[in-house]
Amino acid sequence: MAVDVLLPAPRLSWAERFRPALTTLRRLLRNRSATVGLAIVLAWMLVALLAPAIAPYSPSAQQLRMRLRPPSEQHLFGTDELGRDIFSRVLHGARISLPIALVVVIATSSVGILVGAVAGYVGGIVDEVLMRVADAVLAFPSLILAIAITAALGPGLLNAALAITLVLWPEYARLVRSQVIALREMEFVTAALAVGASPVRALFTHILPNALPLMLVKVSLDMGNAILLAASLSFVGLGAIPPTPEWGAMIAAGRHKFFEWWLATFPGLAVFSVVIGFNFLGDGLRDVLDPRLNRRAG
Amino acid sequence: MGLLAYLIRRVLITIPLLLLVTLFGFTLTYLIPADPLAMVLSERAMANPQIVQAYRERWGLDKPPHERYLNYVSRLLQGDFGESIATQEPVGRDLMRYFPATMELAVAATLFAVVVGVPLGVIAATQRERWVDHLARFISLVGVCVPVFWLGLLMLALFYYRLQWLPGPGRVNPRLILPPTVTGFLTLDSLIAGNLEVLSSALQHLILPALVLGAYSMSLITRIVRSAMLEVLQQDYIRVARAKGLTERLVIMRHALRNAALPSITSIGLAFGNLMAGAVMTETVFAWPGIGRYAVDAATKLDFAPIMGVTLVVAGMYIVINFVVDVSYAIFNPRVRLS
Amino acid sequence: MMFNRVSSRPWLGSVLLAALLTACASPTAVAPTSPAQMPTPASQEQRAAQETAPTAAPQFTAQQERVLVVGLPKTDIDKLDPGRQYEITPPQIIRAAYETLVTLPEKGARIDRVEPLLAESYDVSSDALVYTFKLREGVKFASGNPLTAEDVVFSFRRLGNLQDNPAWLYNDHVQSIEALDARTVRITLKEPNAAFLAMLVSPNFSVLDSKVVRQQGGTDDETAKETDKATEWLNNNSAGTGPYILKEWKRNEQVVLERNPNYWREPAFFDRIIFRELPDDAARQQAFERGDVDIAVGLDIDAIERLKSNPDVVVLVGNTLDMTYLAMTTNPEISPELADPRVRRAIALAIDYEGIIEGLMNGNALQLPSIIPLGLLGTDPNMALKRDVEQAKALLAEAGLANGFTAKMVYPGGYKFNNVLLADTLVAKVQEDLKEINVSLQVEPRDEASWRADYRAGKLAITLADWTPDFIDPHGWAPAFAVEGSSAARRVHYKNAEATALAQEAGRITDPAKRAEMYLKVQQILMKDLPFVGLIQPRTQIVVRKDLRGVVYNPVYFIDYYYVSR
Repeated sequence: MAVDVLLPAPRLSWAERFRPALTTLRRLLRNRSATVGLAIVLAWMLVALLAPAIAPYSPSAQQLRMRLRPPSEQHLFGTDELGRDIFSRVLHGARISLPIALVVVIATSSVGILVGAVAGYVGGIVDEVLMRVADAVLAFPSLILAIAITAALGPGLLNAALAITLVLWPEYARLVRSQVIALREMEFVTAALAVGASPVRALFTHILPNALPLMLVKVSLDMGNAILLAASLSFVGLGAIPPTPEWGAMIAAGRHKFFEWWLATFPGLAVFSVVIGFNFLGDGLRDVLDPRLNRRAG
Repeated sequence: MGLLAYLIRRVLITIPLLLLVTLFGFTLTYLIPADPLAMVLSERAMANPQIVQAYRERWGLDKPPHERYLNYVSRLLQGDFGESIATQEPVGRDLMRYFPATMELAVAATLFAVVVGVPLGVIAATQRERWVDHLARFISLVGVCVPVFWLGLLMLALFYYRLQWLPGPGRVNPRLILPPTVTGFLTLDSLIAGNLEVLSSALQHLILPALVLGAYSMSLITRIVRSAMLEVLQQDYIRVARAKGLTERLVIMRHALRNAALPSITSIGLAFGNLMAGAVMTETVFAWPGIGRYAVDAATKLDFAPIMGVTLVVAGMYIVINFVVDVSYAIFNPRVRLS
Repeated sequence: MMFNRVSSRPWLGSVLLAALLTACASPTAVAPTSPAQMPTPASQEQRAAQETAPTAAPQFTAQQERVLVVGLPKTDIDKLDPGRQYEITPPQIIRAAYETLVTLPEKGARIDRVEPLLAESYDVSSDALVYTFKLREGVKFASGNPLTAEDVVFSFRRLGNLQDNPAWLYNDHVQSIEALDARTVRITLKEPNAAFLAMLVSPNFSVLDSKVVRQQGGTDDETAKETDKATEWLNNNSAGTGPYILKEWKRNEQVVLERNPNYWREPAFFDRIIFRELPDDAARQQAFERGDVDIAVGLDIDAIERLKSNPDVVVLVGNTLDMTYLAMTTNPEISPELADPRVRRAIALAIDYEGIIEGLMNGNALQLPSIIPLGLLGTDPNMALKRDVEQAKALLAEAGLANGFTAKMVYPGGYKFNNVLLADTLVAKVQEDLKEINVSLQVEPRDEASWRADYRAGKLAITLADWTPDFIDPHGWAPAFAVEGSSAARRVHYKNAEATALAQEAGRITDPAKRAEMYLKVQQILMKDLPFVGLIQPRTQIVVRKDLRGVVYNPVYFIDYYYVSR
């Protein structure tokens, strides 16, 4: 397997170049878990897009007489402490929580993969310094970082994503590094290097693709984490500007009123469904992209 | 390279790095435009110049920032973490108290996460697409999504309030007289003192928070182990091993698990570190006097010495964990050398 | 005179001066405040609990240890040295271990006068400058040492010379203190101060055992701020005359008190009192319902509503002197719109006060008309504004803002105003209310320290804030809010010469009727200019197991645990 990839690539026409992508897509659509995942994710994106049209109430409209009502026909998910319709707020929340989760997860995994790959592959002093920096970042109180970011750059969602990325990348870096260390000693990599592949090429064509499946798992699991983290920073100004609803903040508000279970449960289920969606999609992608599985399937 | 040399090099890199972290932390807290005294002193006291002056002198706030920082670092190098402005107590002593409490909880939580997560991940991988696998994946998905406070309150409501099987919030029955502190781990201290009543109470109090705190790690470990195992099981040499007629059990134990070990150990290490740093919610719900709540209090009050104290100790802990992780890479996978 | 978390507990105050001067130190003097205005300090349930309190001495059974467990929310206990602490939770603990020269009558149920405690009697000179206290005979500290005048002098001088958070209580008022003989203390003030006797109720004026404290490195020297080393010991032990002794303090965890066997009155009921910090509201509620906690403080108001149906539970309701208010800048450079008093009035008229009190607080609050809490001298609940959206719109139109405007509101995210009302909830409510008059609030949560810094520096256009009393006299409020350049007024750049003069003058004179009139006038001016809009004065709710007796709320030291029994 390792050797055939190393053959010089023939010149391809545009259509031919796109063929692998199309094949992948077709394969993806044939994969059951991928289609389910894709359906869930697309459905949420649609909800985010159409929220103002399909939500029965305004997400900020208050009805104090109707506060803290359990789910009913009128209010499918009940109402919150200001009598706002939780169903409408969950629908609108998708507009904030989905993008922030995506941005954060993509940003953290990119930074993490880059640092982890370099550290694991190059090793030695570079590895040592990068990993100690990662340790320090993990240890530094994120609250102080968040307050400082608000003070320096101001409040807002993008700065929230920045703060969370700064806090989360070391986890990815460490995980990728461990895979790179394990893989760089594998026969197919040493073989590739032996037949004259450049180390950079070996890293990108042999090592990282093999580290990808694990990343996909971590990324899809971290979606929920990112949404909840965004909420934990929102009270210092890094997050959605009230009254814009955001799932993480809605869940956090439920902490004060545990016995009104619907406050935290429904936004919690929304987060859960997103995580499930991306997880299925990740599993499907993994199956489709995995070179060994392909060979077996093909 | 020998283990000792490796260790020495790591320490040598760590010390200047930690100093850099203190400089970074000092700069950040200094640049945040808020007066730490205003979070500690009352309005009346803030309006009283003598009191404010006394505070500024006592905490060295009247000195230029570089002098304050150098002062802090020189004390730090002598092993003195400084004092909290809010409590006027030495940070070193606070850390000695809160750190073991969280550590005890994190160890229990990690134990749970590993004991459940690793086998579950392995079984899920070997039984791919069977019901065990689906169950394992479902549990881990729930585990990473459920908010800690919610799980904690639910567990309390069920096992403490409703069923009355387990004690409620707190580290130990508040009515008990505790044994002298030796390690700071209540379980160990009571064992040392031979106080079985405290030991049993402490263990019972540990169960729920450890389950709650460990749920996320358990889920993550299950998934990472499963995924890593799947990778390995498809490698050629496993197929060769199978073809050679080795029993499936032997294949998994000897070949597969060993090679899936690196990411698994990494994720366990990460999970443990996360528990130490991210136990605030669990500590709040279970009234656990730990480092997480201490750190948040310090950050809210912009209390520099405790903020840095926590950061340094947690960073130190990460470095130890990752040292262990890196060394175990070499143990589990002979092809990996300590570089 | 403080924001919530930073410090501040209620002091009782100069309502007393006039009473003192006329009745000349009679401990039964009645305050000039009309009873109708006085919020009742205790609800019906509380009265019931009080009346059935057993008067007989407690009987001790060897086997069954009597333990009281108090469940506290995330506390602010940072020191337990009476000379240094100035937060909201510690006074109730300190008050159980230490006593003061004078205290609140009726177990703390009344706040309009004081009565002697460690003093047997006291005398105030006719110019209200010299206070002479005769100490009670036969009072012993927990150590067995007898109480002497020297102990009083030592404790008070130490309070001042520590130069810590509460030092102003002594330094700002006391000229000199001396022990005339073993049982007589004379305090001379710098200037007449109506609040002084009431300040002495404060646990900061606890009388410490000077021998013990000196042994532990304590000093009352002028150099005490550097040389006193007793705080560490006093954080974990006590040296007072109180019914209980401080046995243990584990920060973020618990405080343990034990009965003082040497107490000079009947010994206290409980062998031990354990104050447990249970920071999560729902977890604390479960601990209470499960029976692990006898008194639960700071539960969620909706959870308390549900608990009221539980026959084993008594909910005590007490009126605080806390307040949550809206502040608007008067500086056109910060907000040209808000600098127009018509606009500020329009905003004040657009707020749905009833909705906040009935909806968000379940009725557990009074509407605060201006900036002096109801129940104090010179307040009138009828002054309070009523919502009038039409008039608000008309005022905006008059100010040329018929189409509304946008204002930025920075507030402390996740903070609980007066420990009961989540800032984010109140902000959302106000934001929605103002939408009706086309005023769009662009709200921005901040961490508490940054918000505080900006508000203090007068940078905020419009914000919400809270205040808790230092002493129970209008003089604790009026100057801060009405006098130009003073701590609160400065934050909104408020300047009004008439209000300034009145608020200052009212603190100098002693005739209660005249003072009441002046404070009313100050508030009328403030309600015309409206730099501050009073929102709520919350009621405190303490959830108590039904078999407990003698739990009485007071706004100075919360509960006097000496009277609590089972």
